[in-house]
Amino acid sequence: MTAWIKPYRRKDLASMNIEQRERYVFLRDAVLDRTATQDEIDELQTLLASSNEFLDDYIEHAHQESSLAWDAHPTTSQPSIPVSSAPDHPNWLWRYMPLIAASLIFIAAVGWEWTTLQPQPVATILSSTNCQWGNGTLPTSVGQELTSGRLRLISGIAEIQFPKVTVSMEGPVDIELISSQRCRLHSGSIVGSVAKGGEGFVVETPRAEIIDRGTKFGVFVDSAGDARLDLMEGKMDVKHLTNGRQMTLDGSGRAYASEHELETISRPTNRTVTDQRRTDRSNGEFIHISSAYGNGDEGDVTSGPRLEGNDFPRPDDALLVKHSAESPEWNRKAFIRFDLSGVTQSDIGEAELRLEGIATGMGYLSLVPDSQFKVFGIRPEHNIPWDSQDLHREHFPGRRENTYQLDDKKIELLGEFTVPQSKPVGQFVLQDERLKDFIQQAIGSTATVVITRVTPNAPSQSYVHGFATRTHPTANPPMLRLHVTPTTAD
Amino acid sequence: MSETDQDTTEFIQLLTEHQRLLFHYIHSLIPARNDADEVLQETNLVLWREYHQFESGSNFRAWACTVALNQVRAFTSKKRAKRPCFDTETMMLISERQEHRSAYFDSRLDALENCIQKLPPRKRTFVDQRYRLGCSVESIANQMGSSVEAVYKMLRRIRTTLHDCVDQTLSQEGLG
Repeated sequence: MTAWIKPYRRKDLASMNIEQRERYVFLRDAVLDRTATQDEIDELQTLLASSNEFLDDYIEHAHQESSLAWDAHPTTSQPSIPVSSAPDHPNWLWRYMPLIAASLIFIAAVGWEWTTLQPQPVATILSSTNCQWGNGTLPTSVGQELTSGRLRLISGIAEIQFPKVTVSMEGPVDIELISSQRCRLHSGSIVGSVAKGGEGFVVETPRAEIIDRGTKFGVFVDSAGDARLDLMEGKMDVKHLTNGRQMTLDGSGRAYASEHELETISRPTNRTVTDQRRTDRSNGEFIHISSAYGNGDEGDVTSGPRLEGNDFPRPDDALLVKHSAESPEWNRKAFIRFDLSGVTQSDIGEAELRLEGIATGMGYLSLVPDSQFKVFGIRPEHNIPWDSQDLHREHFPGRRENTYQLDDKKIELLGEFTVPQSKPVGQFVLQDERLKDFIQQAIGSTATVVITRVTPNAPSQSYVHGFATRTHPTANPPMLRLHVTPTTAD
Repeated sequence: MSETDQDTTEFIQLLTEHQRLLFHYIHSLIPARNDADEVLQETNLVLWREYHQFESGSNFRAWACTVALNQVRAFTSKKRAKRPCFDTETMMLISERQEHRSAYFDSRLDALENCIQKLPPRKRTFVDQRYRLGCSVESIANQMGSSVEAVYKMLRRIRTTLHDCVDQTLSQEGLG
């Protein structure tokens, strides 16, 4: 999703000639109020052609007007071709092409009647292999058109064809077909392939709703109702039904929807929900270490000499990260130190770094694509003492001498994650063997990681990403989630 | 189900899904509500007539907007002498900008739905009078016992309130 960031936009508008701005608003309102003369419209046209800000503002206001009008629009209550209102709104086509209109009425009426009065087939069973069907409300023979209802597949593999979506399911699966655009997966796993034009297909699960944006995806719902969503290609939106949290998965992401949470897992792994449960039950435990714990700390460094002033107030409680080759002086990287001194000698089976993205209001989101972030660890021998107060472009761990950059020799790559352009907020999770190994080595001391962005071609006014610090009032602080098993003596 | 029936159903479904969007699109090019309604009707008919040319699975929105733009241009070229309206160049500019930032404008429209619901009762009354009942500003002024200029002012204030509310909503979602 494209978007602009308000402070910049305000500044741009504010920096325009105030009289011109006032004149624009007057002309815009006159056009929307339908009181404008042709001269005034011509004047507005000149302004619209001169500035994208004016153009956006005009479109936004025009949409507002039409939204208000749409509330009372006759077509909202007539979900077919609105020919019935044509006599009230004479038009040349209607008058001069009665044959087309008459045909249209007939076909639309037949179509509408058919779509409303008859039970509509929503899908067809495309194939079934070694299928044993349970008690459902729908027929189960191949080629059978299916209306809304429930299918329970005990074992075997079956494929259901919705108009633009193919759903493969492997028993045991309990699925409810709701419409040609929607199904509800009660339990089991399905794989969906969405053809062009099928965007918007919805899969409901007990915890979350998935809205497809043209993808191949997998959904698994366990017996507790928790869901794992695997995006194989394309894009999909996920919305948690209880807390309302939404996120967009892009490329090949994974999300996990439990009773209270919706989390992304950026790097696909072979771990399944069941596997995770198994891990939870095995020896060892999960521990969480935030940057607020013990000697933990965090801060960010701007490469250039200038810092934000009154014009660009810095958001509170945010770690800022940015990279743009065009304006390296505004590049930023974030440092986080975790105190692992309290962790007794353990084997780390799993390590996750969790960051919560927060809105910064700095820069234009539309100018930065889906962004890759690299997480580096400062090698222990270069993990110099630092704290958030003295962190500076000439004093930060891993610095290459006489530069404001990181030194490849002093850092090691621990993993990468993606922040979608459309959703720079929400939780981002890095799970990687390299992170695990790095943390393993740091047990008993501290570990410093650096968050950097890899978007060299982003323009200078591109969005500045932000991640919550430990002092953020609502968002979660940077956190390590470790599965640790005490080392047993040989 | 015959192929014709299936085409009809698919067309009705696509058209229904895109009615609101088409109306917003046309309205941004022709601010007068009645004119926008008329062009929408004509656009629907052309879409139906030309539906056989639409390649199933391709972008219905883009195709429908192209048809709508042509209908707007045809409409305004006829009426231009009588009513003030944008020239073709400006329409293309507005149209291209909407296409270029469609996701962003869509997100604003989504947020706007809620903001309209949040309007205080007095402002809501003005909205109902003006938009739902289609009353003229003069008639609203009579009914409310205020001046025409005061009604225009109120409508502009409502515009600002809604715009700010959408900004605020997007900002809370991290998009603004």
